[in-house]
Amino acid sequence: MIKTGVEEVLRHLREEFPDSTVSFIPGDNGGGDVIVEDVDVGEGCTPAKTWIGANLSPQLPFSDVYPLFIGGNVMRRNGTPLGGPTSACQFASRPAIQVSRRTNNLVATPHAAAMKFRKVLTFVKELAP
Amino acid sequence: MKRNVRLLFTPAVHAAISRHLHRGDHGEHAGAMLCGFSRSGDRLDLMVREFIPATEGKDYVVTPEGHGRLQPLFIHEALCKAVEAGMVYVAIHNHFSDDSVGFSEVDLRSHERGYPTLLSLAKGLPVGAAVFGKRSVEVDIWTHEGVRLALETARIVGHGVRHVWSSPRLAPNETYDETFDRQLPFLRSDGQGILRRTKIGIVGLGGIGSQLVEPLVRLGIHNFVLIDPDRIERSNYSRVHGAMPQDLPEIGRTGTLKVGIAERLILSINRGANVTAIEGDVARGDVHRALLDCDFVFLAADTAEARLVCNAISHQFFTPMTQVGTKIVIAADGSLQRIFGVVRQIRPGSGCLWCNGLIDRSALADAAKPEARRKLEKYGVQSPNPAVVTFNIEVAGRALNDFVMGYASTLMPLDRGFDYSILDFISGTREDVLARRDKACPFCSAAASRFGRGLAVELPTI
Repeated sequence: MIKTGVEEVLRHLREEFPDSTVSFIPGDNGGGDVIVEDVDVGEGCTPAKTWIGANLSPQLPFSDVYPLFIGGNVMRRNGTPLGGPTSACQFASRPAIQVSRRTNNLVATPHAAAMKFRKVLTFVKELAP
Repeated sequence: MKRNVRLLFTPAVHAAISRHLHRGDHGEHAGAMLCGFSRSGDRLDLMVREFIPATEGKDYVVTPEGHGRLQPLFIHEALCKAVEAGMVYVAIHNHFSDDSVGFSEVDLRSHERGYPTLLSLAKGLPVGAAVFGKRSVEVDIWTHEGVRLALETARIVGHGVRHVWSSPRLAPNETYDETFDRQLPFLRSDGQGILRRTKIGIVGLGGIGSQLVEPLVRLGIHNFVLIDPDRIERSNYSRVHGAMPQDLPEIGRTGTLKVGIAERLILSINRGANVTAIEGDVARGDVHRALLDCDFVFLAADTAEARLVCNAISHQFFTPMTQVGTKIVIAADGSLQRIFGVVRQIRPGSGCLWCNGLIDRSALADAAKPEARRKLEKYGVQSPNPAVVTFNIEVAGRALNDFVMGYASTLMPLDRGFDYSILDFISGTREDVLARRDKACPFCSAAASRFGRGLAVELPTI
């Protein structure tokens, strides 16, 4: 059964990304993997639209959402890798780029957890201005 | 009437109640307490989250016969507030007694007239009354199962914990036992009796947790809950107190469970001890439930998820808790930077591990993932922390001294002015720290949805 904190984060994600499909693959402990499709990573990237995903811990909203993942084919428009704290990997059986951005503050709300997705997208845009 | 209610107060709420009831005017005063609750078997714990004073002449009226009565509107509003929040309504008033108190015949008749109706309005929650003497309290709690419950013990849970009963004859005084002959002059029979009845939880039976066990048994603790998922390995044999060569893993045989080693040690000292040894992680599934009826908990597991769950238990269930740890910091060039230990007192509303940034949120994100996935995401590559048994012993000793002085004696004040002790083993100094209290903390602030709410709020387990 999905934990309340995870359900709340999913609700906020659907509000934050109203034009995207938010899909959730439940795990066996009340958490699971979420993927938000068709998000914007900016004109400095190709493709400019991709997906963003993360594991949602059953201890949300107290746990961080970390790390996050975006589509594995995203690169700078000039064809170079994004660089920074990113690395190629797999997420939910998809080729992915892991984006490692920790949150150390103590604002532990479902809304803040959902906003982490938005912040990481902004960070990716900054990697490919 | 079963005598199995534990009534738990923070020092602030208890002081507010005392000021209102015992104001030195030789009058009877009243109010209501709104309590979170927890049930374990047939025992009921009530955590007093809020006190609502009744205004004399308006909310609380004395009849011409001299009997005080809470007015229906006051009762209705307090009951509705309690029920809406999933809490227990307890009407209170005072008598003029000191260390012994009980309900009068008039009180009991009024309960029998009024409480069946209140119970029917309480949506399955218990309701009841409490009467306070200056140093005593009694309760009459009505439940939907048709059972009425009286007080086992009341506690004011500050740095020091004060134990209050309805009468000195119900205090757990220990009869003389030569085994404790040399400590009785310090603890006295009441302190020894408290220890005899206390149930201690130890989370983590490794380097420090295992050091806590033997002194606690020798002090006279009979009831233990031990929680640890791990088995002994050669690399921690030097630090697990009580481990024997036959416990070590061999080809074709795993090492003995750490809780098994601790249980064996306890029973080797006191064959009559009650030990619940749980092979499990306190943060996972229902393992934490065994802690909910513990009187005091030592947290000696060093994972973020164990800290999160235990910190929540302390503030939600008003369980006094001590978190312990040591750290040896060695620089990349191999030079020794620092050796220190921490003894952190967590009490309802103070010493919160969350407020003080002591729960690593990224580690929490990691905790629920399978090991293979953590490795794939390049987690779990840190080398184990250095650890030495002698430093663990000193930290355990400090934590145990705090426990003895704070829980079984009155040497430690309710507010001793600091929450955490940091022991610097190189300089030999100790720093005492008043922990940060965040007014918006989801765990320890008086306004927090979890604070004192007991079973009404799900614990953040995996």
